[in-house]
Amino acid sequence: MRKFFFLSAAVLFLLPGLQGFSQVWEVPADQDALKNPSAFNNENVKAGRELYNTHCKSCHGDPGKNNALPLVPPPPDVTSEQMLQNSEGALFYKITTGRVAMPAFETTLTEEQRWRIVSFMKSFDPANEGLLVKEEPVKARLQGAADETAKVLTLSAQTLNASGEWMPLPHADLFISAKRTFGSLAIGQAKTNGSGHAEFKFPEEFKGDWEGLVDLRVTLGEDFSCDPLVMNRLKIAAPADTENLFADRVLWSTNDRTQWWLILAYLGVVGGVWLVIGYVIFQILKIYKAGKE
Amino acid sequence: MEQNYNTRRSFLKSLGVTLGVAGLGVSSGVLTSCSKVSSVSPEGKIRLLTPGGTLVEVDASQLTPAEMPSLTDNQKRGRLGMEGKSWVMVIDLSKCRNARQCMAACQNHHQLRPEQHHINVLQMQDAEHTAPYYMPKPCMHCDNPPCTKVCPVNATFKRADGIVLIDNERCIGCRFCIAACPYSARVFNWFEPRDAEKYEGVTYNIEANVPQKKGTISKCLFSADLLRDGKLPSCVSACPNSVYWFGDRNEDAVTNGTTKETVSFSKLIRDNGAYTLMEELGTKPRVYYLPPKNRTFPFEGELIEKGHQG
Repeated sequence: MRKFFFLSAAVLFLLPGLQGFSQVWEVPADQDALKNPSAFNNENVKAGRELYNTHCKSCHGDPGKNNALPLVPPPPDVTSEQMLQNSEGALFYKITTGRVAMPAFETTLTEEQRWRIVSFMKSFDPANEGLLVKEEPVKARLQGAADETAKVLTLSAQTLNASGEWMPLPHADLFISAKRTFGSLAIGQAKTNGSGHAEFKFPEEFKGDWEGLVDLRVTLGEDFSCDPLVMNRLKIAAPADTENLFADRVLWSTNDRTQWWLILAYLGVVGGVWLVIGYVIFQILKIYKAGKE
Repeated sequence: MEQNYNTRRSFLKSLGVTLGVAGLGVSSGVLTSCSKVSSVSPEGKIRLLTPGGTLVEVDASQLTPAEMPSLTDNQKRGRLGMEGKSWVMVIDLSKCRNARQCMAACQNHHQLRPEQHHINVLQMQDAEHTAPYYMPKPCMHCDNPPCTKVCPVNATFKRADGIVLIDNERCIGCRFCIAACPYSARVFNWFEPRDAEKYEGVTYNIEANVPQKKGTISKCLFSADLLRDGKLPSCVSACPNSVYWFGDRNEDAVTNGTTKETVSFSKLIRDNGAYTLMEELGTKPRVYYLPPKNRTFPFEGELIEKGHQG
């Protein structure tokens, strides 16, 4: 009887949930009619893609690859019909409010950012085909040197022109990052001047390893096809204050760093016990001798 | 009598030889399974699959058996830790929606039964009128660990990179450490561990605490075996909601397990008002929490009713 009660309670509990999943995600009419205030251009789509990769990709997967997480209800692929039939306003509303497994991004993303994600998603709409002229990435290369005492990086960027010559690349953004155990940590940006040179003042407080060595990577933006400039083991960062957990003699430390009082107390007890045993044996011997006499 | 002694000696000798041969057979079997031999071609060349996924041919005479860390090497290495590292975890409570992927990944990795948790997602409500939230709770890997002080056999210890480990080859199952831990981070193997038959004969890996042993303690170890391979702990990479940040405090960088974004550790905890659990006990935890503010998911658990708080 009890079992039956639990079972029916479980069914009753699950049913509304299932109904909720199968229902169409209703969007209020005024929200559905909203138009994207940000322009539909390469820049916004690119920004949208970056935001998508950070916030959406973990569940929805890579666009067009149908590798979304198997959740209930399933998160649709960005290029799927189910996704594309949404109006811009509807997409914005759904990103803002979220439902079941989908988080509400109202607090984590600004309106502008949410609209950029909409722009990115709409770039897969066949109706928008041809609107964005995607420029071929320009071939470029980076060179650089580091002044370790002045803590300055001198960088220069060049690009391949139509006749196959390397020309200075003016006004390009350079991104400087440091290698860390599980990823690269952004340090800062520099912009090349009119003659393709840039200087980057390395931040004083940025930590390297215990010697102040750091592995740097410099990259150009996504518009360029360019190998990152790798500068390994530069003594340019502040030395990290590596903590030695075993510096003090503490109770939880390793055997060779045991606290003195513990060693002394232990040796004292062991020595005391042996002394008592020795004393007892000595006394027994004495009694034995006395008996013989 | 003399006769008898000789027979026993020869028996022991032959037993030793048999065992040795059997051991060789087993170890070569292990080696072949590890190098993924796919086929042997007639000219004495062996096809091998490299970790990169390409098939290569190697002359059979060129092959040398791979060196595998023995139990003692493994324990020694596990006691020392990774030099120059100081692992920390940051848990963003505003992102947790109780998906429990971290718990599932952890239980798979560390051979835990469904009721055993190295990491557990708890429903928290700090006071009657405050908002409830979900709180994943691993071991805090304290810098002043109360659990390691009470161990009578030196089975649980803290190593140089900050991780508190347990050696279940030494553990006698007294459970003093369970009593000493203020965070209830430790579990005991009351029963045969999950999939015990699958792990039979596997060399004990202290950095994953696998295979588990009945009658010993198990605890969260930040997936120390994965860290050695340069990978994030299994709970961190399993989270679908970017709750976990993990990294090296010496490098001042933590990486998100979901988005793989790397940020400055000190800036992250400073800007978001991070705190540690029960720091008033002086345990100096290595797991930091970001408060459940601006949450991405609503709380859907059961609320504590008035008067039910005992």
